[in-house]
Amino acid sequence: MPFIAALIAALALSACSADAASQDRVVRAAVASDLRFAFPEIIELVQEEHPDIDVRVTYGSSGQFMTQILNGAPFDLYLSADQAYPATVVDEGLASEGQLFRYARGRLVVWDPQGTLATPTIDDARNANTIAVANPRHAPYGRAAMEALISSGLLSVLEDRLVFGENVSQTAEFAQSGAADIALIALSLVISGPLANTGTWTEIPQDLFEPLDQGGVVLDEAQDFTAAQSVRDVLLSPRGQEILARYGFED
Amino acid sequence: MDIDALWLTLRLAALTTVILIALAIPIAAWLAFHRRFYTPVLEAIVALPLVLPPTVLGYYLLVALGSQSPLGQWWTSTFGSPLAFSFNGLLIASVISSLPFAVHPLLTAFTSVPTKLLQASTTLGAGWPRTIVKVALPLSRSGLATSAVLAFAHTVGEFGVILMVGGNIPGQTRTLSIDVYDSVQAFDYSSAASTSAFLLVFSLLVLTTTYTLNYRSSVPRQLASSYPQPVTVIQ
Amino acid sequence: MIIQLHGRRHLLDVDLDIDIEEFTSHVLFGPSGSGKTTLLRVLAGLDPLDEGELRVDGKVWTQGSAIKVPARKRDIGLLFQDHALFPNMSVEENVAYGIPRAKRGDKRGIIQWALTQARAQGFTSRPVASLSGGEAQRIAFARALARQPRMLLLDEPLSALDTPTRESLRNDLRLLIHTSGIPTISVTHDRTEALVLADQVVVLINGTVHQIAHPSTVFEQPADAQVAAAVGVETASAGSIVRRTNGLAEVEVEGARVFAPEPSFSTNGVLVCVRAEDIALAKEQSVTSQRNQLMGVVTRISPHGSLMRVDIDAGWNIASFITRTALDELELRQGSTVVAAFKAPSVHLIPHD
Repeated sequence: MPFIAALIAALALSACSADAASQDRVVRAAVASDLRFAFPEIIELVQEEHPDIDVRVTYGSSGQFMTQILNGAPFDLYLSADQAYPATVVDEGLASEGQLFRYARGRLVVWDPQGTLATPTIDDARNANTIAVANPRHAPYGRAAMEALISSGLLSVLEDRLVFGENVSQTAEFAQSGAADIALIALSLVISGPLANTGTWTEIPQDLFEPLDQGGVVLDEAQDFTAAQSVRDVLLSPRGQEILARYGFED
Repeated sequence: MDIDALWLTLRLAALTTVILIALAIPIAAWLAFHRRFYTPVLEAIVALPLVLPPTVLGYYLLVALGSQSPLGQWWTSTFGSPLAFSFNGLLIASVISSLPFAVHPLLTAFTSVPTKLLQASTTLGAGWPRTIVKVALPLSRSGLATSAVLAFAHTVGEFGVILMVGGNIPGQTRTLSIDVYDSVQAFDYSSAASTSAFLLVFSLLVLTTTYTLNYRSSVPRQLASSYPQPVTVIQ
Repeated sequence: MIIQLHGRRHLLDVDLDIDIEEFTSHVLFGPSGSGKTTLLRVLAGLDPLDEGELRVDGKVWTQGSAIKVPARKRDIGLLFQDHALFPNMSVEENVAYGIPRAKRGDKRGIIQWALTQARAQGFTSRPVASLSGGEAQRIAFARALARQPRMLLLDEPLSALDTPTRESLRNDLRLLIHTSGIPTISVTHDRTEALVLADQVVVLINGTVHQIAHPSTVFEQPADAQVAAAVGVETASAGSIVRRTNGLAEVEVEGARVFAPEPSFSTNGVLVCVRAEDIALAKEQSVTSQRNQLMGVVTRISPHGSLMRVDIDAGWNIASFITRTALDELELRQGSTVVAAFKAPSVHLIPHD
């Protein structure tokens, strides 16, 4: 059985490499999708200031991360798109209250990926066949988008035309691929990064929804607690905040 | 392409295959040579991951492995790290979801071993472990190889269960198929394209190998067909 | 080894008590579908019973559907119709397969001994797949012997072979069984095979044992009409005894008179059995020791192996085997008149209503 022999050889090799990789101080970060383009720059900054720290990121919806963390997912640092989920993690005893922090306020935009409208507004949604929104059950940007639709009196009209992304970046992907005509997503995804020159967008007035104050927490079970705190400190430092500002976050 | 994800995927698939082959041999032998009235129920249970939505499988695994479950708690207290969203949890999930791919080719191969040879082995004093190792397995070589190849390939291609049970943690649970999903969400189409192309070529190679192996089946057909005999053999 | 089998399985329904050590070679003889192979499989532990039990030396081996002593612990050597050699192993690995753990130290010696016993030393280096039917069957015999089992079971051991191989292996097989000295039960539906192999024949018809006797007894004095049919007594007609004198019985069969040794039973309704080999033909009646001389007309002449079979209507149908030379000398053809002559002791009477 040469195939089985090859498998066993592969396993033996993999055991060696697993040992070699564990030299660095690893921080496993669960990061809300609105930071998908901004956070890589934060990581560059971390590497500049702490070359021994290896940040491994998973992007997703804030609510899904909370569920995973409550089920024992091995994360060290949790950056949510709201402040309620990190607070729940503290309530469930997986982090201490002192470790909670707020790092930015997010902004919501109406995005027309085709660029047919010079200044798309939330009212233009009336003319769209399909509107992409993040899943409000576990994505804070989705919740904010729904609140904005309700405040504008549009939800009852548009209810049948909504499609829900698993998280805010998948929502953008829906619109970018042409599956949806317009999307209600985070400003941070369209102001800079790969989508910066795609289509047109207008910010949705912040009085139409609960403010998207974004918070995070360092988890008690962190493999390397101080390394995780260092990453948080870089994020909150003036240079970190400057990066976030460039991606459209307010402080 | 993400080398970490490739490496993780290969490690996961290799371990899953080794564990599955070790499990599939006794399971397939039991199903093939020890037929009873309840055997179809066991066969159905083994085949279940084929038809069950990955989300259903993922949900049950999450409940079974999560830190709230007795198994999850026992694992955490014994090994110090949780089972869900870890490589070991992923390994358990892969073994379960790829089980039918390992058992079925072997089961088919076992049932085509001439009954007479198995009976000859028993009357020569061999118990069923020896009969399987010395007679049934050597005559089922192509079935065994197909089992191993399919178990490996299916693990490489598994997505739904892995996403649910493993999350998407780089270096621990982000396999190639998850990496494609993640790249698409990050608008990193070039990475998605290269990983997808790799998986496409890999799957094509695997299937070609499997069909070639099936073609050169090692059980002599005339032996198998000339002796229609009752199925129940090993006591 | 005392075998006591009282039970049923499918069509098989037997009460059999035999000591297989009394004679080295037992043959289970009967037409196809009589349950012989089933009986052998029950003995081997491959099949259970529907009902009843099998005891060997007083120990329960099978009780109803429960196999109490599994096949692998019965210490038997089973030879299948077609060798059933393991195609993935060499000849020597095949022979070594059943050698019990305790004797593995002398594996080489045992393999050589078994191959020599089976007269199969010549082709051990060849792959199993390239062996001829006869060669493979010798290796299979050696494999069964290498275990040095307490009993050998041979399931139609020659039936899968072509005719010349079968004939040459038949005589060898008798020798192999006797030199091994291991009590053997062979199954066959072939009369010649039974005659050659058996020291004792067990006749099985429709699942029941009809006769257990020395082969010549079974063939010359079948216990009943079914055995007569099974062993192939060509002439068997109903008649009735009209007189018993001086150890002779005078029987009327369809108007003709036939003399036979006086039977031990008292009923007068009988079946008159004469084997075709025992009937001579002549042109006319003559004074010989052949007490029965019946005039008849030839109804049919057909080849029977190297002999010719002549069917004669003498009021009842009589069949005779004669040589081609004799046929030519007698100038027989269909419609010829002929005398069928046979001795009184060649006639075997079976009670018949």
